[in-house]
Amino acid sequence: MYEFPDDGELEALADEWTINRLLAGDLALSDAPDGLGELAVLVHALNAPARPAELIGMEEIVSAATTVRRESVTGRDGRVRRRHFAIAAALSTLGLLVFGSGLAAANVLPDPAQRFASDVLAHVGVHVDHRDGSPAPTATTGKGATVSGIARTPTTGPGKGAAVSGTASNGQSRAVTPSTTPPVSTPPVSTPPVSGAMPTTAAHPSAPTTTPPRAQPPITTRVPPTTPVTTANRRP
Amino acid sequence: VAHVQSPLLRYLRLHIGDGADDVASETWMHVARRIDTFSGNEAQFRGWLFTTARRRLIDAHRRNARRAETPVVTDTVEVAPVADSDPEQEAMTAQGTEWALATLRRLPDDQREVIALRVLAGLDVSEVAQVLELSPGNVRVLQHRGLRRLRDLLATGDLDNV
Repeated sequence: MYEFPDDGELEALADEWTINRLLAGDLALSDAPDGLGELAVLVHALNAPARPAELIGMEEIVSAATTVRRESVTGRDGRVRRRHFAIAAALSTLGLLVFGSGLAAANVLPDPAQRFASDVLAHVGVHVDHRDGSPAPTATTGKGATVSGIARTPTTGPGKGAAVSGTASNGQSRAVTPSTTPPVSTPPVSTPPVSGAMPTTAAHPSAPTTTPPRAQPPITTRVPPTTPVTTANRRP
Repeated sequence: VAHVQSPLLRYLRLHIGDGADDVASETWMHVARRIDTFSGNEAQFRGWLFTTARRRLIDAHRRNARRAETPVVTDTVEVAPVADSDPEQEAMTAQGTEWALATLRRLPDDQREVIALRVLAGLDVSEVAQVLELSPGNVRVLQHRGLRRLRDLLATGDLDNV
């Protein structure tokens, strides 16, 4: 930073304390050293009380400043609120995606939701089935496709369920097969799949207690534990 | 606001004359928008306020330059006679402030700026140094030269010869 040279012209007017009092307007004329009296008059004139003419328009200035301040605060708060809303929306979407994916994978959503979730999740590489038996969008290859193919066959009865179960479990399922377990005395009633209906265990009074499996939805991820075939098979 | 409006207006009138009211309004609007960015005591607020005013002044001078208009400061106020029996009373008359401003305008720019910030803004040497981006030593030198020149002007009572 540039420093002024000491050119020898700066003989002291007064000590620094006096100069500070002079410039602050605290030096009375009667206390002013020789040569500073006129300067004290000048400083007092500069610091004279405000004249009414100088305060004209102050109300307008204060009002305008208040308005500017309010607009500034409102604009900032609005931006903050919009940012918070965007964050909340993003978190909600993420939570819905994760939670909804879990529910969809568990196949416990209502049918419309399940179908919607299945379609949406198919776009992000997660494949879950539609409850009503329609195929999952990409369940065309692998074991899932094989199981789905078995499930779509027109045949009905415990044998089909056993085939599905056995395929899905790589042969480890203890599902009933026609060759090892005799069929129940009451012939099974094949119930067509009901689109959009939730599975229910409330059967008609005349229906057999071991209702044969309905046309099960194509199973690619799990076998519902409440299928009559499996339940019956686990009895000792 | 009111107790700093008067010094602010006088400081602006010292530089720009009739446009002082507009620049003062711009200064307060800027302060209102940026008040969240300020933290400090009253002295620091005055420093911030006058720093803002200086920047608005520079903008105003640029606008005036683009319009090819030179800010005209008319010194129609007679210089108060120093030899009067009661100079303090003379200075405190309605024309006293204008006389003081007209006297300050006779100083070189840098000296006038230092004296104005010290007297009108009420800033100390270090605060003036921050506003003007000078060292405190430089501010003291400018202050001393300005006071000396003012003393000479007032002693002769002939400001036109400076």
